[in-house]
Amino acid sequence: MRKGILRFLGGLLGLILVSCLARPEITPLPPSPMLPAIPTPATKPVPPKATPTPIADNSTCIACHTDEEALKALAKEPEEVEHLSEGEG
Amino acid sequence: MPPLEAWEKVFLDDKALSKTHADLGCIACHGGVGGTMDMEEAHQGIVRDPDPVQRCALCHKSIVETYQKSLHVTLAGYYTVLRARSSEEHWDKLMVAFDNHCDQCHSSCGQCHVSRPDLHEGGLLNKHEFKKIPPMNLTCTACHGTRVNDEYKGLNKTADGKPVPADVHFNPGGMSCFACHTGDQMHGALGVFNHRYDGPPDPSCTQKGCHENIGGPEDKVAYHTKVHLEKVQCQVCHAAPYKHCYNCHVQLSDKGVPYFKVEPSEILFKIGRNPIKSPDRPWEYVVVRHVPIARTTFAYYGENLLPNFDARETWTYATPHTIQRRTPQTESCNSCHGNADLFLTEEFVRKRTPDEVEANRKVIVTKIPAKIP
Repeated sequence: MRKGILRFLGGLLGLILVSCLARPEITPLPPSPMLPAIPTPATKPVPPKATPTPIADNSTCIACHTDEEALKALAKEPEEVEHLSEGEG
Repeated sequence: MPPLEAWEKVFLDDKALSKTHADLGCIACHGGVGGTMDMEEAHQGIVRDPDPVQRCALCHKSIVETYQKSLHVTLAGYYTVLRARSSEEHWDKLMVAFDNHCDQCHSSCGQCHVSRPDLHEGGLLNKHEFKKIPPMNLTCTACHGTRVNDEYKGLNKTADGKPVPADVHFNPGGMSCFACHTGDQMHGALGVFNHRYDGPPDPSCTQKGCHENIGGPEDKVAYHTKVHLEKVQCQVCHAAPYKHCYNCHVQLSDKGVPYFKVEPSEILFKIGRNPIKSPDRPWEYVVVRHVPIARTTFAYYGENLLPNFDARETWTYATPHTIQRRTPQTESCNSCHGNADLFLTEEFVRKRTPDEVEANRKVIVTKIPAKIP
């Protein structure tokens, strides 16, 4: 009986010692060429906060260009150029 | 087309602007200074016709990309014919003339969709409304007036005073230019061309939705024989007489103002040989039109600027806008067969344009199709 216990303890000690031995280096397997690469989700750049572009004040343009009387008073006919062409253009 | 008064040219209705365009505001496209009622200050840096690339392309990118390659912008057709007739040593002088007299024939986005073309002193089409389909009478025919407009609307008369009827597509057809000449064509989306007759006919008479059954089993027109359809351009039978121009000469006045002089035009019908025969345009016989070029057109700018004048015909391949179902040519077989008067013969060219016989060798008809007994 005692012999049996000693054998059991000896075996256990042997197992412990074996497990403490230096392990061989594990080289990782190259990824299978058949497998498609899984795209890594790219971190989306955070867009800069939109700053409202100042819209130029168009009200005076509209006010004048929709005022027929004002335009008639202000618009100048282009300088008359000589028309020397003869025949159909 | 009478020009607008100065005030009318810039009179707008802000309600006429589409919401999207109005949201951009005037200054975003035209520049200038806002917030002032002083006219001079307000117009500082103003751009009357905004640059399509800088402005329109912000939203209409693909159209602006192709439009820049369209013949309306590149004017490649002019360069093609001038290169053929001129030479490298004369090119610079020729380009001075070109810049003075021909370069105004450009078109921008705005000059079709918002205003009249610059060539006709501009002016808003309808109070700055953006016209998706430009009004043909204020845009297309403003430039293409002398020949296309007058032919299409039936405004011409032959030498003996007979009115030439309007093109059937216009009356009774009621078709505008854009029914045949599509936005894609105008915007250069169909490819890059060096001349308007490069590539297959566009528009084509037999394209889908038009006369696509011509020559097919349901076509009952006796004249539409295989030989006719293969050898004869549609216009040879279906065009009425059309306009020919001669001897345009350009120069500058003492004050430096460019002007031209051109001989009175003629309304004629002439069949010639096809100078641009190809699988796309396989016909032997086509209608030909005299274009206003002359050996001395640019003589004011230098001597003999077109040394290779004879390299290109002056009676050129044509597609007149005078289409009729029935014409004098369709009356009988011998309206054409044996009728030398309809053809561009050497005798006719010697009489009408004696200096241009060699230039037109390619198109002169040497053998009139025989009379049918």
